[in-house]
This record gives sequence, C-alpha cells and structure tokens, in this order.
Amino acid sequence: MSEKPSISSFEALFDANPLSMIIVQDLTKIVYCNKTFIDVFGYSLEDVQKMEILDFVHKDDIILIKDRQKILLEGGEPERRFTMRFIHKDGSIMLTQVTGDNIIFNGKPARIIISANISAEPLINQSPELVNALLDALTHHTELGFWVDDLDDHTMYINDRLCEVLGYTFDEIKDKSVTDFLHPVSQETYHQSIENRKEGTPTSSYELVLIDRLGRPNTFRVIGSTLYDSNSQPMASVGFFANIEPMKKLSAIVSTLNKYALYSRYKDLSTFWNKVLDDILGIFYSDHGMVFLDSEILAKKGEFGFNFSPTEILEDLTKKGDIVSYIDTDCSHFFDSAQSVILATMFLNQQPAGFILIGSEIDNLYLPQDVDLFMTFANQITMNYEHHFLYIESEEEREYVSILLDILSHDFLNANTSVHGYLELLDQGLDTQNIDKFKEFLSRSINVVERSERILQTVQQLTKIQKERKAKRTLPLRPILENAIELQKTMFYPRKIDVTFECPKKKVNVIAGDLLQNVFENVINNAVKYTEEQDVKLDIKCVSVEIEELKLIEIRFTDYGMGIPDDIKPRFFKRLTRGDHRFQEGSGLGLYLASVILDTYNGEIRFSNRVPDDHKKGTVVIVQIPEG
Amino acid sequence: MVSIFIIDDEEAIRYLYQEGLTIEGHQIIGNAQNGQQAIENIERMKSYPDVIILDHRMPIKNGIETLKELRKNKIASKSKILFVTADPTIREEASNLGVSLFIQKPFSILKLAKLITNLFS
Repeated sequence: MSEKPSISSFEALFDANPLSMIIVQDLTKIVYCNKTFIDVFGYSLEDVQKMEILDFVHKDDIILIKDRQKILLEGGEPERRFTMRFIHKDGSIMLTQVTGDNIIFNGKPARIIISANISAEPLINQSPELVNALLDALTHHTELGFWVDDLDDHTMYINDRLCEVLGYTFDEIKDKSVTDFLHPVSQETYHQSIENRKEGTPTSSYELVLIDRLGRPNTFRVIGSTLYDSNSQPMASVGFFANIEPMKKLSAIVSTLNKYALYSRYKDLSTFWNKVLDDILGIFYSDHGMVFLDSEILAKKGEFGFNFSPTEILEDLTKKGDIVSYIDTDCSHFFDSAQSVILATMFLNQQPAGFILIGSEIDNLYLPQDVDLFMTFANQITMNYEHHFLYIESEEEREYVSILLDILSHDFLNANTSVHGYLELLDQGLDTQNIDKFKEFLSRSINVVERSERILQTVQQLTKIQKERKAKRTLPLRPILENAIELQKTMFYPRKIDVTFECPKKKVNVIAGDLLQNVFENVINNAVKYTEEQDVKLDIKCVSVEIEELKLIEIRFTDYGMGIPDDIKPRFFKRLTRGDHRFQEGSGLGLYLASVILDTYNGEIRFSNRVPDDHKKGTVVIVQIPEG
Repeated sequence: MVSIFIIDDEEAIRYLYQEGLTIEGHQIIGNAQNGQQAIENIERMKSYPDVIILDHRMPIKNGIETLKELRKNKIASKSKILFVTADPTIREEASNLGVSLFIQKPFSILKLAKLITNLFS
C-alpha cells in the first residue's frame, strides 16, 4: 500500500464498515484496505502492503479475476457482483460475495472491492465430516451451542460450548439424540418441530428445555434448519442453541414481582403467598416450598419432615446473620428426599421475620446465580408485601384513630353536657332541692366522670398497643403469669383468689411484648368480676399445642363464676365503635384490649363454657401465644 | 307550658332534660332512645309536642334520618325541632330540613330551658 487516502475522514468511515474493503489501482496494486479486511482475512497491514490482489485469491478463481481485468482494460464493465474464494492467512478458504465499482482515489482511477464472508453457506453441500470441522472452527469461541442430528435423530456434531452447558463430553452425547435430554415440558414442542421439518415447513425458532448431567433443566432458544446434500436431499438437521435459562429466570422473577406488587388485590395473606410460592417453584423447577413469616406458615407446598421447625430455622438464620443459605448436602431434615434447598431470610421492619424456602429432590439443582436471583426475589417480594401491607395497615389505623377521636369528642362532649347540667341543677336548687335529688345528681355526675375515665384509659392503652408489635421478643411465660396473679390478688384483697397453676414444662417461652402481663391481668380481673362469691377459684393450665404446624402455648383460665351468656361472648372482642356501650357499662373493655394486644403477637383469645352447654357454671378463657 | 319530646340514646342526658327543662315549667311528654322508636311513639300521639329535642348521633336511626322521615311522612310538621349535636358540619343539612334551632354540645341545660320559653313567648 504505497499511498494513503488523502482525506482522513474517508479512512475512518471505511474502517468502521463491517464489510471488508480494498481499493486497487493499476488492476493489481492494493492502495488501501480497511480494518475489517485485516480482521477477517487475518493478514497484518505489513503483509497487505507487500501483496497484490491475486495473492489473496484462491488459485481456481485467478482466471475469473484475470477475465474481469481484461474486460476493464478493454474499457468494458464486468458484472458488478460476483462470488469468489479468498485465502485466509491460515490457508483456509473463505467464500466471499464481492461487489466491484470504479472510483477516483487520490486523483487517479481506482477499483473498490467490497466483500462479505459467506463461508458458512457452502456447508450445505459438504460431507458431514467437513461440516463438523467447519462448525468447530465457526463455533469454537462462541457462546452459542451447536447441535447437528442426522435424519434418524442421532447426534452427528455438538460443539464444546453446548457440551459444557450440558455437562457431557461429545463422546457421551454422540450416540444419543436431543430427545434423550428433553425435559417433559419440551417433548411436545420438539416433536412438533420434527413433524414440521418432515412436512417441509420447519419451525425456525423455538424454546427447548434440556436436562443437564446433574438433572438441572436449562432453557434454550433454538434456531433450527435442515442441511441438504449435493443432490438437494435432506442430510441432517442443525440447531443453534442459545442458553436463555438465566435470562428466562430473571424475566420470570421480574414478571412475578410485578404481578404480586399489590398485595391488596388478594383476599388474604395465605392466598397471596400461595400464589407467589407456586410461581417461584415453577421458575426454579422445585417441588417443595414454604413461606414462613411473622410466626406463621403462610404457604406450603409438599410434605416437610416431622422434626422440621420453621421457628428454629429462623432462629438459626438470625443467629448466623445469614441472608441466604444454599444447601445442597445434608438437607434431608427439611423433607425426606431433599437434595437441594435454598432458604432466604425475609425482613419486616428491617428485622428477620421469616424465610422463603424452595427445595427439590434433584441434587445440585441450584446454580450460584440461582441463589443470588432467589435472594433478590425474596428480598424484593417481602419489600413489596411490607410496603403494601403497611399502607393498608396505616389506612386501617388512620380510620380507627378517627373513630377513637370521634368517640373521644362525642362521648366527652356528652359527658361534659351531663355533668355541667347536673352541676347547674345543683347550683340552682341548692336551697330548695331535697337531699335525695342532690344525691341523685351527684351519683349520676360521678358515673359520667367514671365513664370518661374509662374512655381515656382505653384510648391510652390502645396507643401503647400500636408500639407493641415492634417490642415482640422471646419472653419467659411463668414469671409474667405469676406477677399478674399476685397483682390481681393484691388488688381484690380482702377477696381471696385461690389459683391452681399447672404447667408441665418448667421453662416455657413465648413470643410476645411488654403488655403480655396486662393481658393476663385483664383475664384474671374479668374472672373475679364474674364471680359472685367472695372467694374466687381460678384454675390456670398451660399446654403446648400445634395448629397448622405452628407451635403455640395455650393458657386456659377456668373460673367457677356466673359465666357469660353465649350470645354476649363475641361482643367482648369486637372493635370499638361510636357510642360503644362498653364505655357506659364499664365491662368487657379489658378483654377487648387483651384481644387487641394478643393480635399483635399473632395470638388469640376466646371463651368457652366450663361446663358445655351451661354458661352459668363458669367460663374458660383460652389464650394462645406463639411459642418462643 | 311547652310540651317537649326528647330523643337521645343516652340515659344521663334524657334524665338531665327531664330535670332541667321542668324547672322552667316545660312538660316532657315522652322520650325515645333512637330515631326509629321516636317516630313510632310520636306517630301514635293524639297531639304532637310543641318541641322535639333531637340528638344526631344515635344507633338504629340518627337525627338527620329521623328528621327526613318525619318530614316525608308529615309527622309533627308543626313541632319545632331543636337539633342537638357535637358535630358542626351537619348544621347546613339540618337547617335545610327546617330545624328551628341548632344546638351544639356542650350546652347549658338552664339556658336551653330559657331558650325554649323565649321561643314561644
């Protein structure tokens, strides 16, 4: 190359062109070549500078070039587009589609030759051995998998990349067919593609799931075609396999997160999490799964081992500070046939509050990138859930606060009106009223003031309970219960409260907060109030119970009092309403508060009769709290 | 002497009306704990009261609903309605239904008794 193009922008433009370009003057002399030419044909710039055009041409095509040169010399114009073979620096033949045009270069006539490498096309006319060799060369450094089958579905060729993804050597695959690796979900697609090919209408692109050596499914986007022999007879089928498994998982995760972005669309927590779990199990080809959150199993798929304790698992994760645990060995304690399990910690209010688990009977099912993806999913879905749940909760709370304010303003104004009125009447009739009227007005005023106090105390307690959810922790049950009993005994003195306390385990822990003692005090207080006799008998019994695999401590308070009629029992736990008669009557507020407190612990309170079908023989108050 | 019918769900308030308004010489001719009960009672009366003291917030049927029904069925249309509430936002709605006085809680029972006297003097 003796002369450089005079305009630098021209060079830059040609260098950026994906097609190979050379400029020839005086028929054979190369005066310019672009960067693509160097890259495609493997020669260095120094090589090109020393060579003539015919030095690159395959010997069988030299005559073709000479014929074209002759036409040009005679002032004619040869066919503009033609096919010829160039020789790569390593000696291999490269078939190119060439376009030639006359141009003026550096003020002199020149010929520009633009060529495109079409080497892959002649594969269709070559023997399988040559095809294999060429494909090896073509796909050696590619991320694409490449699989060639003969017409009997036997593997003729599979490149290194595909062998690597599937975890087999070529020797292990060569006598098998694609069908031996097909996941059941892809059977129909694959056989349909074979049928289409036989009918002459091949499916050009489809998705296949293949099982790798470890039993893991891998999704590929396959572009398939047919190879023909020199007689135009079908010789083999060929498929490019792009591994889209990570992309597919990521896309499915994003779509699942979008789908479940609004928790409020679902009727309850369990429906929401069961749908989430179903989707996530599908994405990771898993058959076992569990969502354990806020002391509750919210969703479960598959049977778990008898000794499997979600509470202990969460404690373990919390202790270790693990966000995710990837377990592929020794995980049989989750479920009998467990070979692969991933657990991701779920956080509520930035505290570990549960986990989402998926597992399978397939060994080493999850790749490290799956674990990362799963962790991201668990984190994000919990955040989605938390945000929307908090929003709904705050809306409910806002409404409830408005009701409480309303109760306060309405009942207080009513109370003030009454007391103000009675005082006016007392003042007015100080000299004339009889003493009985005086007593009546005073007694009524005291009642109204007491009701106001009850309202204030209740609202004050409810304000404290709002913070209780965050104060939850593992607490020893016994001392709290004993303190509550002692306090109530002192409060009701000189009435005697005879308590029998039965608890099989010496140390019982519960997950609760600071107001737990308040719950017990309210329950005992109620039992005493509903006992007419001076001496009160109360039996307290603690037992462990398991409800839907959630371990709870059940505390049963049995009194021998006058009992509560069955139709009144539910009223005790109803939310406060405007003009609530519990304020006027002064009864039941304690148990209502107890139920609100227990609700924050995911616990429960309910009544039953001590003697079935006879409410007059006393009441059993049953309190359930998650075991700590 | 003004005849008065009291509608209020709170016993303490009803008692207050009873004691406070009679000092001024008014006569309490009936009472009810909610709007529904009031309509039934008033409907049965041979002569309607001069004044109906109607509380707004009550179970079953509130003050506005009661008033609407009284108006619709032309019950006690000549009685003066004293509408009592702690909620000032419903003043306009109550006025549109033709209440004679809008009384906001808390109020003085003695002043209310005098007010009723003045209303008829």
